[in-house]
Amino acid sequence: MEVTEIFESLEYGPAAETPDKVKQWLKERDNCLDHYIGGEWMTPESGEYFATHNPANGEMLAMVADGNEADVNRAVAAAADALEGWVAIGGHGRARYLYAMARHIQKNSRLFSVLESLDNGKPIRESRDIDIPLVARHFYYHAGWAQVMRERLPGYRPIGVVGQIIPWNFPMLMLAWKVAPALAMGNTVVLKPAEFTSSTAVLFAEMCSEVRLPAGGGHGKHGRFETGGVHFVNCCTVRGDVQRNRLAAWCF
Amino acid sequence: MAGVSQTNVRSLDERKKRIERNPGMDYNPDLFGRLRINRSAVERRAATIGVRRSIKKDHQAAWLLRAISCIDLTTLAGDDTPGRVRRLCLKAKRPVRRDILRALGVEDLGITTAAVCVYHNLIETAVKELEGSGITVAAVSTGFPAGQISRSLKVAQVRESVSAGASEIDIVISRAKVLTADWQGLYEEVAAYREACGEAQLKTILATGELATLANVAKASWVCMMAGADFIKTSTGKESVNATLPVSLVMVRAIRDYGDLTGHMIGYKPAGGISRAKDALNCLVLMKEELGVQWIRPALFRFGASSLLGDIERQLEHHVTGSYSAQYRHPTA
Repeated sequence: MEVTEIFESLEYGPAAETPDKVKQWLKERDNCLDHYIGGEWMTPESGEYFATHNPANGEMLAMVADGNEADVNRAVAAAADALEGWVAIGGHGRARYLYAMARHIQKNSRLFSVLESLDNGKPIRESRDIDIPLVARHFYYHAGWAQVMRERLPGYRPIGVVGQIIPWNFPMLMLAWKVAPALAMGNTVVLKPAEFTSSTAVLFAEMCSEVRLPAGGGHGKHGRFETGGVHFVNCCTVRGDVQRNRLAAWCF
Repeated sequence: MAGVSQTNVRSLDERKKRIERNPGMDYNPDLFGRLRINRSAVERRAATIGVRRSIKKDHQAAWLLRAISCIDLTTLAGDDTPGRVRRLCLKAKRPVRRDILRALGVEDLGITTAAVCVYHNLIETAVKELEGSGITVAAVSTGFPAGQISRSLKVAQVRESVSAGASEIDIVISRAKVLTADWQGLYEEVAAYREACGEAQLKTILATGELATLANVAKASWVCMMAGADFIKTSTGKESVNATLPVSLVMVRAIRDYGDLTGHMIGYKPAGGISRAKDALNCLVLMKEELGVQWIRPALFRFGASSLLGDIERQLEHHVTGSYSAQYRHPTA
């Protein structure tokens, strides 16, 4: 737009955030997002991938690993292995990891916000100003609870391995709502992000490895919702479309 | 009594085209008596204004040019001389260096400031200097800035300034009336000034920094509009706190409500405390979102400012050349 035109219309300009860094991040991964299980990146059992798109323009962002029952079982097994160690480090130990995760999210806020907007389609204004700051706050908050767990929650014990399924409308925020409290209290997590919006969960998993979260402490397992078969999960928390959640009921 | 200068009235007519002048209304305390302002909500909204919107590069240049077209270029100093006022008027006519305007492609827009604002004694100089330019002359009045003189003197001051050629009068209200909740008294005061103005536009300065609460600001805004103000203005520029975003938000909401009730569009003038281009942009954002882009024009919106113009020119020069120049290279007068 010409300056003379903007002078009349007083339109707002485009947001300063550019997708360049995100494009670069995706490129470094060959536009390919795998499972993060047991502290390692693993290709799916089936070898299948599905595409995830930017809803604003239909552009393909990346190929996401399509998990099946075998992948889920692997994830749960790894989580079960890690459980003992994770409980043993105690509330204070867990608090330190959660605090580090909160800091990492803050430091990479822009990357998270832009990726979230690209994958989910929500305006950058929302992801930058509301979603991502809230995610960081949740991790800080639950780090606090982990720290005081022994004194303030004396009778409580962790449940064990927790399966978590989250929707696409608030990818990072729902992740934070689920993962932070679960990890804080000494559970290990198998997370299945929404098929439409898996990328920020992958970024989060990367960040977990940066923080050197003990292997198995957190898992990102991707896949379309139809895959079920979670056998040994002690607890399954679900959020999202009712239709799809009926499938989840089979897991118990 | 000599009439208002013909040139000024003509340009005023052009500006107020399609806007019927606020006739005011009978005093009615029910309209504002129970007004409450949620201060923390106001502050929360004001806090988002400067940070959550993107106005950069070309957009910023365009917005700043629009801001210039709404400035009441002001000098209200004890040592004002005709010479200074003449220089100020020249600046009003040519607010930005030609080469910068050319680089932006806006030379043909013919941008000037909206008006020049001076003390009574300098009105004649300003009128003479601005003849034919379309820029109006506003004069502060009624014992500006404190307003602690007799009613008869205040009214006489308004009349004299109108006779001298001012087509806009910025009066100060009696803050004591607000602080003692003498709303009827305030109404009568402003109505008297409106009458003394005749054809000249009346801007009522609330001196919000001295009104103690946002509720008082809202109520005073209502009373002034009811009494016939054409513009409501935040401050004299001499208070310790002048135009802030929270105060602006409260006042423009009052303007909006009065407009919804009566259909009359009242102008808004934030004055004082807006010396940086960024502050001006924030104010424009507030106006755009609360009252609409249609309100951001000289007939309905003014910045009471002086050094603001210099900072805007600095920002425009930076946009065009990539470098910031020193403040002293952009004198106002």
